[in-house]
Amino acid sequence: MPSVVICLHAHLPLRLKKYGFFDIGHSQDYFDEQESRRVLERVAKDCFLPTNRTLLKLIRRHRGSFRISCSVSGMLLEQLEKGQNTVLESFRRLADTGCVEFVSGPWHHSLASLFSETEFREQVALHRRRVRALFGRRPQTFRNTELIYGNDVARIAESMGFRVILAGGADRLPGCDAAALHRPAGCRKLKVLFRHDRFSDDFALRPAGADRQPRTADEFARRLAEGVHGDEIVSLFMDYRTFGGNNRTATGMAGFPETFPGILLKRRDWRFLTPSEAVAQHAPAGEIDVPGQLFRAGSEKIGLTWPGNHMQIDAARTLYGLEDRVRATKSRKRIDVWRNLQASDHFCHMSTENLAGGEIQGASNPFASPYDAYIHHMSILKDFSGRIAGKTGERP
Amino acid sequence: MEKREDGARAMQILMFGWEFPPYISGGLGTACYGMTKALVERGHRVTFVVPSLPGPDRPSHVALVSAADFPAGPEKALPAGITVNPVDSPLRPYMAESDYGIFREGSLLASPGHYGPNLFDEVQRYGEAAALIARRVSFDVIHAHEWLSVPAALHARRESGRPFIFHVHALEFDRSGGSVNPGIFAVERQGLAEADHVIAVSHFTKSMIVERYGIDAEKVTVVHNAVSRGEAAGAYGVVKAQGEKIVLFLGRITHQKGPVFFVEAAAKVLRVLPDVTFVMAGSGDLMSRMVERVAELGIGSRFLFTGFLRGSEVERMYAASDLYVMPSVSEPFGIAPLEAMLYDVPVIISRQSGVSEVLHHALKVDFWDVDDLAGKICAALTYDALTREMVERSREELRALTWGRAAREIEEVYRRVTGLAPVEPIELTEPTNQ
Repeated sequence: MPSVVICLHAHLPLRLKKYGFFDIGHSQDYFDEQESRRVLERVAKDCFLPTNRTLLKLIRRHRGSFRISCSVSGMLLEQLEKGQNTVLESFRRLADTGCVEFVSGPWHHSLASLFSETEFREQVALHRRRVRALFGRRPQTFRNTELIYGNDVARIAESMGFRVILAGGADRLPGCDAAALHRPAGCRKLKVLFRHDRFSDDFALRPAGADRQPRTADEFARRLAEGVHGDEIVSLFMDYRTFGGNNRTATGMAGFPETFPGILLKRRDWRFLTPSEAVAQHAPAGEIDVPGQLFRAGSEKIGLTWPGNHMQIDAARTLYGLEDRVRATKSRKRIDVWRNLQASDHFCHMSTENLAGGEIQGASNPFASPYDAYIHHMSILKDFSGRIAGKTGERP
Repeated sequence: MEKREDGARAMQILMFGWEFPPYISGGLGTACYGMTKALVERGHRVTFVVPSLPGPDRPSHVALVSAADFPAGPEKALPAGITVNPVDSPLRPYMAESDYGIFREGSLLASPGHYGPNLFDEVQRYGEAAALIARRVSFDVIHAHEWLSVPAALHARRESGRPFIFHVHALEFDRSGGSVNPGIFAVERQGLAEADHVIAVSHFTKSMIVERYGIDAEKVTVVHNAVSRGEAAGAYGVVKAQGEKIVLFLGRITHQKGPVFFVEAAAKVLRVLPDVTFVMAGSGDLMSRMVERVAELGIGSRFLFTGFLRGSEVERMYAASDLYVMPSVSEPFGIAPLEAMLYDVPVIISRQSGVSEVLHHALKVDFWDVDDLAGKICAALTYDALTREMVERSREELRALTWGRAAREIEEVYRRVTGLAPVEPIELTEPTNQ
């Protein structure tokens, strides 16, 4: 009986202010609240609300057969609580159906797993507590930022009591079958579920028909039926904006997410599961050993593989190098600032890949160039480190 | 019409220019050299006409033709493919007399030049000589650089009936900073209007041609310039003192190049980083104003004027610098940042420059935003990871900015205007630096 496991991920960083070299020592206004709010309003209206409406409709229509999981970053939850309660409500309504599992990850959508285990654990614990408080269930499923995976991440997730970890990068593991569950090396209970890249990417927003993409929900369902057999699991992990939202209309793929579950459920045997349900019903096919860090397919395109370029490495090293000093301040405010600077987005904006032809960069980078992104981030860090050293106004 | 070895059609090109190596004083000559060399390497033949040739030793790959010794004798010293013909004319770069800054794009290294009093007469005489040349030389297409060549190209077209391509490296609007010379403007407009096709060195220039001269955008093709690595490049392993950073402005000290923004930014930087040295290399009509301003700001001890630099001095200057700044107010292309990049020097350029269209690994500022410029200078001097990334990625980018690429695009324009059989795409294995 083939299963489909969908995980939709929602995240928005706090935008950074344009913070130049001459602001160092003069301003501790690092985040652009106004711009962040503006972006949130737009995405809420264009994406979160309509997508959640669609999901609710699907769940009601299929009377419990359509099941799904959602990952909402802590950073986004915080912003929603402050300014977009209707969105938060729509997530709550999804949780109330019992058909939606909320998964947990690092609160700040950070790369902490690469740099500091202590910090990583704290951010995950923060997020899990908040998700439990908001949606009523203690998350059993873990999803690291950008689906970054490795033995260490798995070990930490297991020790924190998670039962399943979502991961990317199966294509980089020879012999790894993404359509099966695996047991991470060194773990006894935890199971890992890899993103099915081909079918997940078929969902991506490209002009209809490009790259031999399925044009219709029928075609997509047919492909699934042809490509998946027996007890296999198809993990469709994607961004909220990929799944739904108004921009689908422009690509000629409107209605696609709304109709394909119905088509699939009409076929015999097919079912939708949450990640927790999937691990409860499937045994691991084998052990998977990933000593280093595994990044998902296409992570180069968004500018996030590690080690990154000179600027990404320098900025991350500088940021995490402050950890002990930040903790020593025992100031909630300072620690929050430091954590908000950890959002992976800031590092993506420093990527120098695909600049010449890079629509991906141009569309999402709030800075004019990766070099500007780095300069602003570093200037903020210089000011911030001066302040936690208690030397306000200190020059570099 | 000959067939090239690869089966594509070779063309004969009659080119009108202003200067040609080794007799050059600015960027146009360098550009013409690189461009014609790449065209010849693709199998075409170029006859290059210049107003005059000062010496007997003729260059390389073109047939240089001069009206002075026209009809030209056998061109023994030239590599096959290119002839350079000088026309006997007193038109020369940097002729003294008027107070008008020399106009050629990229002639950054030049001393302030001047047009002669009878400039327009000379341009006309150049044109008439061109008609004679056009009668003797066979060619498929006329390719003229800059407004000075327009009458020559028009005469040649009248004589031959061949299509005329006008290659714009700079416009009167860029050069003059507002006080447009109506005579030059008229020649430019005539050239743009009458040309069968126009090549612009940047989208920046193309939009000016379309908006200010009312030319149909369809008629204008953008072909970005390239940069050739000089043989001496990289030979200057100048050892820099630790902590002593040099920020360079190298170009004509004229309104167009925005030297004032460099000076103002320097003052702001020095308040934060007092050990930086700023160098303004070049000369021009704003030089004394800049010297006065530097004194007024009290930064004279950290701000040097080198005057006009030549040849190896320029290379040495680039090699010694930690950062190159081009705050141009209006720059059709601007080859100097590419030259700086050849020496692994990171660059800050103004967004109001054509070269910013092809450079992705440079810091960019609006020329008027002195705070942003100063902040970026500080950042570039402070954050090593920033400049390392820029320099490494720029090396890759430079490899793609070849004259071979430009020649392919020019060839495509030739094909369109002549209606000759399409030049078959051929894969050139280009040397890393042409």
